[in-house]
Amino acid sequence: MTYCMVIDMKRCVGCGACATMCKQENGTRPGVFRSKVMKKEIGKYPNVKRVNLPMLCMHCENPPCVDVCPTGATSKDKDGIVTVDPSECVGCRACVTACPYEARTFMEDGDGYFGKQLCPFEKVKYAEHPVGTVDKCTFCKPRLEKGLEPACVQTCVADARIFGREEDLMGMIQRRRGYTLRSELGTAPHVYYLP
Amino acid sequence: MAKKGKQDEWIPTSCNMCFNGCSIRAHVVDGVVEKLEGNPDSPTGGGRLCGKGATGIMQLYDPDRVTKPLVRTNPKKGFDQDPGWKEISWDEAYEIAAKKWQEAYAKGPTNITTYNMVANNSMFYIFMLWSKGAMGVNWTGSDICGAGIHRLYDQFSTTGNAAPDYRLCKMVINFGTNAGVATRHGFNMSAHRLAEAREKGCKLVTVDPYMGASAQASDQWVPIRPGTDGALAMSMGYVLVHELGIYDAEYLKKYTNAADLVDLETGLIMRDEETNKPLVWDPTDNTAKLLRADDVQDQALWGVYEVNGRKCSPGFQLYADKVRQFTPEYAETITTVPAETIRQLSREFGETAGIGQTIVIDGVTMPYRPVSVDLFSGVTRHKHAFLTEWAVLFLNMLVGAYNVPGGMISFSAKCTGNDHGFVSWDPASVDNEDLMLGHNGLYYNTGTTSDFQKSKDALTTPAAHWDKTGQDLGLLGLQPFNPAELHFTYMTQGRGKEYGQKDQELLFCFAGNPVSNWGSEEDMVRYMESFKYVICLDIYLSDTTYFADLILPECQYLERLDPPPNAQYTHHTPGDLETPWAVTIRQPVVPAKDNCPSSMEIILELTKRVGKLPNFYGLLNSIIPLTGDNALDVMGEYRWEEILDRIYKQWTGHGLNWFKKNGVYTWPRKPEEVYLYPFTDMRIPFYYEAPLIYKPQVEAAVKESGIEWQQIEDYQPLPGWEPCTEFYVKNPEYDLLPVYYTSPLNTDSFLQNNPWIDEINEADPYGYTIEINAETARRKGLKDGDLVVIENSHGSKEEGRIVCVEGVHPEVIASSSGCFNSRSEFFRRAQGKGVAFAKLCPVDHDHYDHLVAAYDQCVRCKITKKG
Repeated sequence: MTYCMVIDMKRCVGCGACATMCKQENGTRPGVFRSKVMKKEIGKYPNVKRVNLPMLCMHCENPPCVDVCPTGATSKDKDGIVTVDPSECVGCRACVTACPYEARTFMEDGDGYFGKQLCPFEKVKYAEHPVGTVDKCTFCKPRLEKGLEPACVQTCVADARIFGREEDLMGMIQRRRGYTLRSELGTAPHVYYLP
Repeated sequence: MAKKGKQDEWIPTSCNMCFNGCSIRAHVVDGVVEKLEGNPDSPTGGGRLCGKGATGIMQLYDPDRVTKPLVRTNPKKGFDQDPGWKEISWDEAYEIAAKKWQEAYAKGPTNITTYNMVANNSMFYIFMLWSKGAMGVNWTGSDICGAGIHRLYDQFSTTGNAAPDYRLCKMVINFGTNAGVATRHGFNMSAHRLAEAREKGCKLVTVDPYMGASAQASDQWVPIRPGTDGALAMSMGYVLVHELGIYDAEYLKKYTNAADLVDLETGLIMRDEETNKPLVWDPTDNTAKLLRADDVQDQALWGVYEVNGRKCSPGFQLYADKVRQFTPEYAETITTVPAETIRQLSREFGETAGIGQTIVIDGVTMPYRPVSVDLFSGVTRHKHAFLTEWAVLFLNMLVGAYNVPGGMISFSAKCTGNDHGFVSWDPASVDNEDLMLGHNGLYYNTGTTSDFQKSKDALTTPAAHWDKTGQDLGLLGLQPFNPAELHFTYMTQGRGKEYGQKDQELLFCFAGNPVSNWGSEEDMVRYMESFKYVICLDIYLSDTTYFADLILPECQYLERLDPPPNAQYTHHTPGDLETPWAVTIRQPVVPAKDNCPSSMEIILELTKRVGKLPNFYGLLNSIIPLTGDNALDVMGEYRWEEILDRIYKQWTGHGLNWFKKNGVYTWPRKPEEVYLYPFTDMRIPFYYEAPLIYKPQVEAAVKESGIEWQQIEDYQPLPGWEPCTEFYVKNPEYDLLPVYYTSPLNTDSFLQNNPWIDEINEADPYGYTIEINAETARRKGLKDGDLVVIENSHGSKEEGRIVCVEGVHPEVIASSSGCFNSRSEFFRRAQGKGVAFAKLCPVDHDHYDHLVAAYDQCVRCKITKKG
């Protein structure tokens, strides 16, 4: 079984709820956005489109980050989820460079959002994200283990995200001409976008 | 699932990161809030939480929050002065507040004004009513966005707020709003509905000078010169009526007064002398007949007739005459929207309306008009806003789309109550006549009757008056269309003598930041400095607190027991057929830092100390209303929990403890509560004679006042478009029009200090910048990243970095929020970031709409590279 996520670009309103909900759910450190929305403009006034591109780890079938990890800290599990084991990560950042989707962030220092003094939320949450290691999206693995959807899927105000088993969703993805990002690289992402 | 040995619970409560108050659940583990998410049990949010809502924890734990009362030690006020805040006890703080209040009150109740905005929206209505009804003082609200708009929604769809029936809609045109996409009332509830509709093929069009969230999601973006939406709308009316002949004649005759005959000399509707019923022209036998008389076989919409020796025409003919000058070619010169686009939009709108279609809902056959034109902030911020908003919203009526499935429907057109004591309302009961005009008493809680009633009353008692006693600093007496917006006080306060009115001495400012949310800094500083004493009730030391004498902090929303969010007639919850009615709770999920009280506890204590508790209890008894066992003994004394318990019991039969556990009480919405037609035969006004009745009354009151009032000519019976003050370029150097927009993450100034929002703004290529059209920048020799000065011709300046983009009209520069660039050093992350285009807008008569106190933010500016 392989998990996948489908993002419906027609429905997405670019509101950023995925990004902040992810920060909450995973309690990531300053500078870390496992989920974010990239923006770009295409065309010339007045025939212009502004595109909101929600980004997260693509959980590639052929993840370049796994190949370059010297310690085996980065691995792909049986469900296709790419994770980092912080106890084995030495912070070499090879994976950060290797990832074509800028999905990984090295956690450089221990300051919180309000300075050196961590707030109660940060004290609890940052223990899971040791400084000197690399952080990334896990499809909210702890939530999946409880039978819940990833937090970004649960909160999406436009219901633009679908999460599930790729075998179940592939028919719909193909029918609706779903695509992956930078498919030419052969990474074979398990995050799909619907036009 | 509880972790072992840990106290672990999910507590139902409500968000307060914007005014919508979506229901949420807080995950609290050993006293730490670890997660907030939408509460799936509640229709208010429907289990979703937006990007702002998900940052609430960072506000809770923000060390910049103020939680202890503070008193100023430095008497000098200003941004260059350290207020020298000194911590005092709550008892001392209440003593000072009560003493200052009583001293000011002794000089006259209107010597005091309270002020509030939406940073605690559960309190909004109760605070307003407390001020006016219990304490008997002035109240100032600053609804910059909805000035005129809520009034017009009242007029067409009965209760203050309306939205397209997204689930059934096939075409939505957003004028100057991100409704259904990124912001506005109930955005969290409407975004998925519109997304679903768009996926099913609903076309979204956005008319806006800036390509904001709605335009980005749209199938078509129509960039427009700011302040000209009315001209575009009038031109669409021209195309529909004169070129395409698309209008819903049946609907107009049945549900509007478009066929009522209008006396061409007086402009007033022709009425039968005996019954006072309007007259219509029956073309089948060419006779004038009483409206809805048994022998009326048809009603003419076109033509000029003579009745009782008077020349007259149906109101429809007069609208057709009025739009005649707005040919697409003419409108193009005003709006910059190509004539071809105006024709295409009009045709699609008219054809998609599918005039004549019906739909069966719950066994009832109803008209089905799956199109809506919607509007908000972008359209109101202009002089002549009322005419413009009217012109835009008029289009829905032309194709028969008000109050029917698929069209423009009220958030809460009608409520038949529930099995307990929840308030019920019904537009038909307000004016049991043929013309229905809104419930602005419901939205504004002014206690006034409907506008239609008011206009009828005006026939005997003038609707406009000049207050010789000097108690009308907001000059509401000169604005019969303005239900309660005291925006003119920004101009008149401190200059009372010039206006023959008494200045206010005490400002009690709650959950608002007037220095940042309105106009130029010079004007707003003058406004603040004109008060002798200022009390601020807030969670932050905002820019406004630099002019405060006393700070009464309130605890954060996750620490607070508030009045039921959205309870005031669900003004923020778009209600469609699949959205049940809901009563919800906002309760503490963690103890308040430093035991800081809530605003309700603070005002209860202040009310007690000034001896007005009986007034407040009496008011609550009447507005909730609390009856029977739930009624408060006005001579008693109650804790807030006890009062709230009674409110919940009255509305739902369940008390506070039930709500603490269950969070939300719902009951289904009925079709007749959502779609007024065909359930009522009350009509909405196509031709609106009230302005003509008001006009001489306003003229007389203005003459008496001696004030240089403006826009008397705007009292017209039909919508229109007029250029705002700075529409024409007078000095070619000042050629650009700054506009600001709300993004999904940046709505109110209190959000700016949130570190997650700030971090996203920093990373956003447009976040804290000034966006300028790339071609315009090239022409002016500017490039990406240049530091520039934006200057108006009134002496105000703002600085910022530009980014050259394609998604903005060539005559426009755009920036997020409008109230960035905080001056407060107690607002550490927000201080000095971004630009505040609001500060470029002068507070003067030329920039005010004199009908509904809308604020004109069309201010021509020049841009120069710094250094």
